[in-house]
Amino acid sequence: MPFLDVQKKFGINLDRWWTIQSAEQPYKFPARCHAFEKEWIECAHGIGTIWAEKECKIEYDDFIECILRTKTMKRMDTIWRQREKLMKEGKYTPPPHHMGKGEPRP
Amino acid sequence: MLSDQNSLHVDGDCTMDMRTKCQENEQAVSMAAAKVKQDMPPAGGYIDYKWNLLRRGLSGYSMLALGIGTLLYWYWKIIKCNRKRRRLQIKDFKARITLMPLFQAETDRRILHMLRENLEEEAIIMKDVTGWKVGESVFNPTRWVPPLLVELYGLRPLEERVFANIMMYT
Repeated sequence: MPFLDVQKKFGINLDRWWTIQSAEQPYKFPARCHAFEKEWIECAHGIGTIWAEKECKIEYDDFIECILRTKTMKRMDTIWRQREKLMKEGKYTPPPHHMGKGEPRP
Repeated sequence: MLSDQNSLHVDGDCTMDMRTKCQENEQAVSMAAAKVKQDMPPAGGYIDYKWNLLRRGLSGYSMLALGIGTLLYWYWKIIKCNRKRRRLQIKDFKARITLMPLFQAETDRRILHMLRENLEEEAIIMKDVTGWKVGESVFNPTRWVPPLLVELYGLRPLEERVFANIMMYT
């Protein structure tokens, strides 16, 4: 119910732990995108959807990027394609540690 | 006459009549089948077995008390043993907690080294591509974001990546 916070009144936590990633978890395990989500929620809380979309676009983009990693994957893909192209042309040979023969570190 | 006596399914007769009819029938049969040896109870009847059983051994209540006492004693032993196990487990945890900074530092060094190598490789590979900023972060804030497995092992052979994937969960 909106104005009667029943769970806080009784001190129980029935479903608050699964509403957001940054909620309190058992053993205090943090989510992968905890920081980004925290930033976004702190920016966008209480100002309504339309205003939040305008003001918190940066945080939201970072949060979505952290979850989906589209930009990271695209970057890796570009680098990999370029690497394959250069290897086929013969202009580039990967160094030994990238071919599985690197010296083992602890 | 005999057929009348043999018929037991007479309607409306009381049982007394039927019993006398049965006894007469039995006598007739036993006299007819002369002296067959049968398994009969011993002469004088059976002995009273109940008193024979209880003459030796513990009574019922004392056996119950002995059983419950044994249970309780060994329960107490299990409780003590579990407490000792808990103390040893706390020792193990303490050892792990003490060594955790060392391992974490090692892992961090290793990750940073791999990222540095990847960065240099990226600089070499993307030399000719126009408009590429080497080592550009995809995130806007300049916070440390733990790298993905793909980022670390992207330029390495597939087995290393698979191995790292397995090791992450063991």
